[in-house]
Amino acid sequence: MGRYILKRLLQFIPTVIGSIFLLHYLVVLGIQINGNPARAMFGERTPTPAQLQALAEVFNTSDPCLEQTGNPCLGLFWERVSNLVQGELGVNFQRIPITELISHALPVTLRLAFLAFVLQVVIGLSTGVIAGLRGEGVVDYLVKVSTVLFISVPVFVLGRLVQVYLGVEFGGVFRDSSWAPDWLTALFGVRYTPDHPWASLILPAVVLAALGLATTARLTRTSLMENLRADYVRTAIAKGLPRRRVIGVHALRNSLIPVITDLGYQIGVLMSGAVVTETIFNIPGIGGLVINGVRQQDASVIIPVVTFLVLVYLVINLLVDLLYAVLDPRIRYE
Amino acid sequence: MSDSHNVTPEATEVENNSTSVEDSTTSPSLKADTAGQGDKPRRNASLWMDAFHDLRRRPTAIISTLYILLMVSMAAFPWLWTRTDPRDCDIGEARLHPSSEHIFGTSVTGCDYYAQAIYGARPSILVALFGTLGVVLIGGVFGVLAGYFGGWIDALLIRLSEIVAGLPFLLGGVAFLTLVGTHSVWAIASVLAVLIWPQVARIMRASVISAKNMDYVQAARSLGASNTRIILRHILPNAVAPTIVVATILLGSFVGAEATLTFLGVGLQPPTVSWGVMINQAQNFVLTGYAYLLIFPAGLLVGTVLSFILLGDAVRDALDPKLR
Repeated sequence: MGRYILKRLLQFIPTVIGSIFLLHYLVVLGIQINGNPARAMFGERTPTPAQLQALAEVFNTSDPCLEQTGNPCLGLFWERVSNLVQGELGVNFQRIPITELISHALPVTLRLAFLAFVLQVVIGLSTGVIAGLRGEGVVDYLVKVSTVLFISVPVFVLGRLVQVYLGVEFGGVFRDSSWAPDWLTALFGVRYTPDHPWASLILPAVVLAALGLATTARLTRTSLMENLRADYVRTAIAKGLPRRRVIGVHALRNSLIPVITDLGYQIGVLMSGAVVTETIFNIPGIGGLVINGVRQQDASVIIPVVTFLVLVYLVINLLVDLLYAVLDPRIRYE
Repeated sequence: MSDSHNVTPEATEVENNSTSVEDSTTSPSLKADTAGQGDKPRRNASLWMDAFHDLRRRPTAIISTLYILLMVSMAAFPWLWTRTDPRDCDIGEARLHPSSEHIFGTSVTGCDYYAQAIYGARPSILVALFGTLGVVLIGGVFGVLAGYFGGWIDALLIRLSEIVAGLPFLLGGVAFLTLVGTHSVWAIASVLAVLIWPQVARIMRASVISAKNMDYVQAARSLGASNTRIILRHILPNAVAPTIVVATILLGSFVGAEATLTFLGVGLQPPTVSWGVMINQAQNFVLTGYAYLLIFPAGLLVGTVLSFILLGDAVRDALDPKLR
């Protein structure tokens, strides 16, 4: 296993550099095709060349290679990576350091991702197990249908529907009433309220978790059904072990290996999926930063924040791969 | 569905072809043998005909194909469905609820919502179509090369696909599309193609590797067939099935992806009319009693995504001989 971990760690380095480079190249290509993003700050006004130059230097877009379409701008890439290593992410158009913006937004996104993750684990696993054990029942059917359904309904449509029917229509009952406590109103609110940092994130978390939840349930179901047919389960039953032990220890523990791996990857998906959910519910998290950057055409926010999210995604995937090797001793690197 | 139609003659042709190659080289007794086999009724003409017959008996496959054909006809010939111009808007008639005159109501700017929903099919489906074509082209070529040649090409391409897969498409798409400034069908389709191809490459590689070790490939190679001929004539027709399944499902997900990117403000933009643009424009009014502005385009969109996914699943089941 030591060899596997070492190899995986060594592989991680080129993958990270490669992914960051790909992102850098997409961004550079965009700038080369569209022109200097600093110009967007001036809107309809025409900036003087001196103004533009000064701004471009602050935002690191003065490099002449940004005018040659197709040039990968390796010098700029190297500069970005070395800044990144030093934790230097630059400033936005209002000259606020990006690190400060991220440190304010991160706790909100982490709370949202955590809630969504808990929902996935609790509801996803339990429905999956019930469906897998009963087989061909109502729960099984529900799991099958909901997976297909949640895959087909884009998150933002689901989010808007939840917002309209649970937030506006159903939540309106509580807002108009005199008896409902504040947290209940916040729970079925339309958007995030800082006064109720947990309750008002529950509906967004449901929306964020929906797709992953259905996938987790389906995966648990399939994996459990497969393992219940395995030889060692038959042996355990033949030995006369109680059903609880056969299912709990023999079948379930083995079936959970792929599920746990998938759940791990889902954390990365949740972090990037938060962009959509945070937009719908007006949540001031990392995704909110990205979307504000998009609305203000502020490349100096979008690039570092997206880079940050990509790094988080890659690190989580690495940890999951390592965890997989610990959980399943059969995994060997050849 | 149309894909399997296209492939069918090719697959049978390959079979005929390989027998003719045998004919010219094998002994007369073997020749007589193959001729004798030809007399038997050939029920399973090919994998594709077989799958097609199987699909015809699946209600989900039929319904989703019909729905897709309906949407494609809207995209290709919108004038079959409506005579109203989706851009002929009267601001005085903005946000009218559905009535006999405007069966889907009118939009935020007073356009006929039904006409918009019909005309909105084209950009959404074009993005999905071009995006999927790009993914299949890039992923297919890379997958075939990696699987067939192995060695350092394989190692390099696997590494490359891991790098691309390390960049979640939503993040990469937002970064690129914000900076590129043009919000055209082409820009969105190409960003999808560039970021999603590893999914197809991986599957193609796996099926090429398993096809590569088949006896008929060994036979072709020992007869002196070139790599190009082996890949095009023998490996590709036998390895393309899983890719077609994934491509069908991707068509659906890309319809959803276009709408998501548009929702985030980096996708298509008015005056283009697409389902994503319609949903995006409706956003500010959805919460204040104009839910129909969301329901109609979102319903068409979800139906399309669902149909492609169900059809993909059905094709997968039909192509999997283990399930028969």
